[in-house]
Amino acid sequence: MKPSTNFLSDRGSAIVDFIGFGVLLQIPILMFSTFAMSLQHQQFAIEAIARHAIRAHVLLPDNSSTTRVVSELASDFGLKESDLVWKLSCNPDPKCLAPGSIAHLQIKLGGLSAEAMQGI
Amino acid sequence: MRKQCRVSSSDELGSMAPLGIGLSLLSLMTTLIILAAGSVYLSERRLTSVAESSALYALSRSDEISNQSLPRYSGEFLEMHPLKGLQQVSLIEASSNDGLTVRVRLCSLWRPIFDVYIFSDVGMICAEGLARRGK
Repeated sequence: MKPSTNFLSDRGSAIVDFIGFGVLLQIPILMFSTFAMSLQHQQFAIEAIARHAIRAHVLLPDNSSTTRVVSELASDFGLKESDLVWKLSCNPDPKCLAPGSIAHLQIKLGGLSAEAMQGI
Repeated sequence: MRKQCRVSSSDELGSMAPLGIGLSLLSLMTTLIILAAGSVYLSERRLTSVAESSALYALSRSDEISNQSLPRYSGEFLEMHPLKGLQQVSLIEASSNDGLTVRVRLCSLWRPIFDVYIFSDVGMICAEGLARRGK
């Protein structure tokens, strides 16, 4: 059971090697993978929310309706609505209600952000 | 114990360290490839959204749809709005075949999220957006 002190030596226990490389190296990689994929999942979610919310706003230019759409989409993706910070701005009509305006929606979730824009 | 672990019936001898390191590298590479594939998909979705918005903008600005004015309006849209998360977006095509449907095709450069030496090559992704005026 004594571990080998020489790296290139064939002597030593295979169990020590297995535990050393199987656990000590694989677990950090697994943690990194899980964290990175979770971040990417959140990025996918806010991109989709931005895309669909701006479309909903273009189809029905009503801010309360857009708020409801963002809330429903967030719950569909398993996100808390309170974690999302979003801002809808329009040019040239700041109220985002007049046809011909370009609506611009920006959503932030922690350090992640997504944006979408479309003409009304 | 050592003999039981190290000496097998097929006389397989050697250290497990290279196998462990190789397995770890394989896991890491797989993770990076999956993340890179997700990043390509994300960029393609963003580019599609921009292409669709650009097509809609060109359609709304054109009283009469012509292949001469569409690239100008699409380019105007791309210049007016900052394109977050996209690099070097270029307008490839803005045209209409039937006078009702505007087709905008954009291409962009994509870089892997982890810009290491072996994956430093950039790729070009393209997306298309259509907008149609009703009769």
